[in-house]
Amino acid sequence: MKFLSDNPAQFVLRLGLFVYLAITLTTFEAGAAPSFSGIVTSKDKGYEGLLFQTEEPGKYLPAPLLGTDVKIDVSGIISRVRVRHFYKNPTEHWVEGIYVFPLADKSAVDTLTMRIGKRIIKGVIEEKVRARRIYNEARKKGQRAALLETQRPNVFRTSVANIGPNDGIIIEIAYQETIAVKNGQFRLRFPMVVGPRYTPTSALLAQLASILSGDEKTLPETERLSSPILQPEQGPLNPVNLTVRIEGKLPIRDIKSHHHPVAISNPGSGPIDVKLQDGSVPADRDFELTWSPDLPRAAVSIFTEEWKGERYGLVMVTPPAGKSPQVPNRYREIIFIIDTSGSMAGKSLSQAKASLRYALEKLGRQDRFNVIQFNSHTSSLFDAAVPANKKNLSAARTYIDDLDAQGGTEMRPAIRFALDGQDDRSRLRQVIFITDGGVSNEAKLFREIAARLSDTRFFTIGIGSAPNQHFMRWAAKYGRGTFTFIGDLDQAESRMKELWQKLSRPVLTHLSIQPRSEGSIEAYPKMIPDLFVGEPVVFAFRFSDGLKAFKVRGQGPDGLWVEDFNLENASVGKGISKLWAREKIDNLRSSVYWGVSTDEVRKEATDVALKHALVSRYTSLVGVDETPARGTGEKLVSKNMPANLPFGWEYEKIFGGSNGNGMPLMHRTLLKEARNSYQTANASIKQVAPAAMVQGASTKVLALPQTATPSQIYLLIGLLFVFGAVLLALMRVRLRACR
Amino acid sequence: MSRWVIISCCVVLLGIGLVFIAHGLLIPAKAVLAQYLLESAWQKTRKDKKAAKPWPWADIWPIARLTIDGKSTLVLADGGGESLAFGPSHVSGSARPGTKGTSVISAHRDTHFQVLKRVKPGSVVTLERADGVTRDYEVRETRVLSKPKLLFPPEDGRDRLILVTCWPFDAIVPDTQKRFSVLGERIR
Repeated sequence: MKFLSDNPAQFVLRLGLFVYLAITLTTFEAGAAPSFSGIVTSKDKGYEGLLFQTEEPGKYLPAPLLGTDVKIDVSGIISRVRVRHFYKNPTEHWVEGIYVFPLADKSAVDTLTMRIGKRIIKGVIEEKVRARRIYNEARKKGQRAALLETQRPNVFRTSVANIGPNDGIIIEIAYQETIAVKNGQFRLRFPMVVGPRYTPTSALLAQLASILSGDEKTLPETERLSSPILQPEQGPLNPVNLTVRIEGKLPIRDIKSHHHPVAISNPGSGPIDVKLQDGSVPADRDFELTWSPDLPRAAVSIFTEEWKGERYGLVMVTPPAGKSPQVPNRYREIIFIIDTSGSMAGKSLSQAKASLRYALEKLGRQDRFNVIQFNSHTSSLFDAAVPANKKNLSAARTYIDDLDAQGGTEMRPAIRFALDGQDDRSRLRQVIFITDGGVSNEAKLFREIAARLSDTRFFTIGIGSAPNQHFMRWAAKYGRGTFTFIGDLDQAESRMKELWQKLSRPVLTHLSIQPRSEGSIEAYPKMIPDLFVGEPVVFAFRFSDGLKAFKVRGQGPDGLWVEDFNLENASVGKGISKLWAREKIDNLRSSVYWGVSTDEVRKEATDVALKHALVSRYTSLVGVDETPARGTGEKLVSKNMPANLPFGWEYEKIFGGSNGNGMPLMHRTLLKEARNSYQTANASIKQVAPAAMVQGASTKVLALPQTATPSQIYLLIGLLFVFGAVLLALMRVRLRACR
Repeated sequence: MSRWVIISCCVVLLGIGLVFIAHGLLIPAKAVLAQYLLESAWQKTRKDKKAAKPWPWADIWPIARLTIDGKSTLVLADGGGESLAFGPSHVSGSARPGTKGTSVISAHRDTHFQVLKRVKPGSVVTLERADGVTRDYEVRETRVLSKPKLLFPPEDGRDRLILVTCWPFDAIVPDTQKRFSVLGERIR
C-alpha cells in the first residue's frame, strides 16, 4: 500500500493509513465472520477425506466416516500402506464427491479401488489427459467412475461420480514410502485424522441413551454419559483397524507406539505384528511407531528386488557420526538474501523480517555475515561479509527494520552477489535466501545457482500464503541445501530453529555412488544434498545383472569417506522398483533446467510412470464401472457379487443390509446426526441425477484477488484535509477583518 | 491565538491533504502510464514471439490484448502482488487467455475494468493472443458473487472467458468480499 515511502512523507502516511484502517475496520467488522455449520471449504484444515459438493460453489459437506482399515507392511526401510475408508451417503439423493488425501512427499501411489454401493471400480493407469477424458465420458453416460490425479507431488485427489442414495462408499488407496530414519531409529507415521470425524457430542450421547433405554423422551443426566455406553455389541464409533507387520528377518528392539495403545505379537524372531488395541482411538493424533534395528547398520541398510526381469535396489547411507563426535565446528560465513519486491508487501515481509531477526540472534561471535536485499535492484548492508560483533549486528537490525517491499523481482544479481562474494575459503559458507519466489525465469536462475555454487550451500525459505514452492524446492536442490516453508508468522521461530540446528551441524559433502565391479548402476536422486549427522540419505537404483558391489563416497568432516556395499548380502524388499521410478520421474523433471526439452521429459516420464503404474504429474488412475448406475436391477447386482467378495468383506458389517438393517446402532445414530447437520448447514448438498452428471461436473474453485484500490478514499481524505486547511484560513481572514 | 499557530495548522493540514491526493491520483496515473509502456512491450512480444518486459526491472509482462466496448488494455501474466496496479491480470489456476477451457482475468474496478459497468449480455469481448490469433467471446451473463471465490463451469469443451472485478463499482470504501463477474463464451 505504500507507494511513496520517502522519509518526509512517512509520518503523514502512517497517520493516513491509520485513519483509513479505522474506517475499513469499523465498516467490515459486522460481516466478517461467516458461520460454518459442518461445511468445509477448500481452505479449511478439514479438507481431507470424502466431501460432497454443495449448491454453493467451493463448499463441501463431509461424508460421515464409518470406519478405517489400515494395513502397513514394513520391510526394511520400505513401507507399503493400504488404506480403506468406509463412508456413507446419508442422503436420499445422487451425489458427487471428491476425496482428498495428503501423503508424504515421496510416496508412490499405484492403486485405487473403490466400491460405490455394490459396484467395484478398479483404477488402471492412463496418460493424464486420456484418463480425464475417460472419466468425463463415463460421467456423462451416468456410469460410476473414479479418477485419481495429482497436481502436486504430495496431494492426491479422487473424483467420484454417481454415488447413489444411501450408498456405502469404500475407497482404497495403496502406496509405498520409505521410512524415516533418525539416529538409527525407524519412525513410521500414519495420519489418523482424515476428514472431520464425528465425535460423540453430548447430544448424540443423549439420543443414544434414550434409544437404549427404550424411552425416547427421558433425557435426564445424559450430559455426563461418557464412553462406557459405546461398548461392544453396539460397535465402536469410527472404528480404526490398524495393523503393522514388520518383516522379521532382522531382530529389532525398542518397538513403541507413541500415541495409541497397541498389542505387539512376537517380538523375537519372525514377522512382528502390531495391532491397535480395541477401544477408543484418539482421533487427533497421528499414529506413530518407532523401533530400532538390533544389527550392525550395513546389514539393514541395503535391499534389492527383481521386477519384470530387472534388478532394483535401495540403500540407506548414514554419515559416520560415531567416528568423530567432537568435530571442530568450522567457522561460518552466512549470507542472508531477502526479497523486498512488491509481491512481498505486507504480511510476507513481516514474516521474512521475523525470520531474519531470529537468525541474527543465533550468530556466533566467530561467524561472519552479510544481508543482501533485492527488488528491482540489489543492495547490501555491508560490501562483504563482516564479523558478527555487537556493532555490526545492531546495524543489521536497524537495516532489517527499515526494509520496505516495492518494485520488481530481479533475483539474478542478488544470487550472483551472494555466490561470488567468498574470500575466506576456510569457512563453511551458507546462503539463506528468503523469498516468495515470484519469478518467471526459473530455469535461468537454477542454472545460475548450479554454475556458481562451488562450496557454498544455498538454503531457501519460502514465505507467505502462496509461495512458489516449486522454485524454492528446486533452488535448494541445485544449491545442495534445504527448503524451509514458513506459512505464517507463528511458525517463523520454530521453523527457523529447525533450520538453524541443521546449519550448525557438520556435514558430509560431494556424495556419489559408483559401481565397484563390472556392471552399471543407475541411481537416484542425482542431486544429493549435504548430509547432516544423524540424517541418512536413501538412494534408489537399478543395476545390471553382473554387478556385485558398489561404493558410496563423500567428503566428511575428517577427510574422504567411503563405504562399500555388497549386493549379495542384500535383503529382499518389495516395491523398490516403484520408489526408483518415482525418484527417476522427479529427476527427469529437473532435467528441464539443464536444457532437455519439456516434450522429451514428458515422454520419458510418462513411459516410466505407465510402466510402473504410478500416479504422477503425467499419469492418473481411472476406473469406470461399465454398468450405468441407473437401471441396475437387484438381480444383476447379486449376480455380480461373488466375484467381488474378497474386497467387500466388511461391507455388511459396516453398512448393514440393503435397507440399513443390521447396521450397528452407533452408525445409525451417526448417520442420523449427519443428516441433521446437513439440514441445518447453510448450504445444501448438490443433487445430481446420474443421467445428467454433466451438469455438476466441476469442483474447481478459484480464489479471486482483491480488485478495488484505495484511490478514491485517499482522494476523499486528502480533500477533507485541504478543506480543513481552507476553512482555517478563511477563519483567520475573518478574524482579521473583524478587528 | 497566535496567527502563526493558525498558519502552521493550515500548512500541515494542506500538506497532509496534498499527500493523500497525490496517492489517490498516483493509482490511476500508474494504471494509465503502465499501459503505454506495456504497449511497446506488446509490440515487441508480437514481433519476437517471446515475452518482453515493459521496463527493465519489471516483474510483469503482457500476454494478451483485451478489447471491451472499444477500449483495449493489455493483460498481464499473473505476477501476484502488484501486477493489478498496471493492468488486468490473468488469474493463475485458470487456462491461459485465448486457449482452450476457461480463462479468468481480473482487474481493478476503478481503473482498467471500470468498463465492465457497461457490459451487457450480448456484448462481444475480443482477445488477441501474442501469436496474433484473435478470439471473440459473447457475454452470456453477468453476476455478482458474494464471496471472492469462483466455481469453474463444467469442462464441456466450450471455451470461456471470465472477467472479474470488485463490486460495487462506485463504493468509496472497497468491499473485500463481493465480486462482479462477466461470463463470455467463444463465438469465433
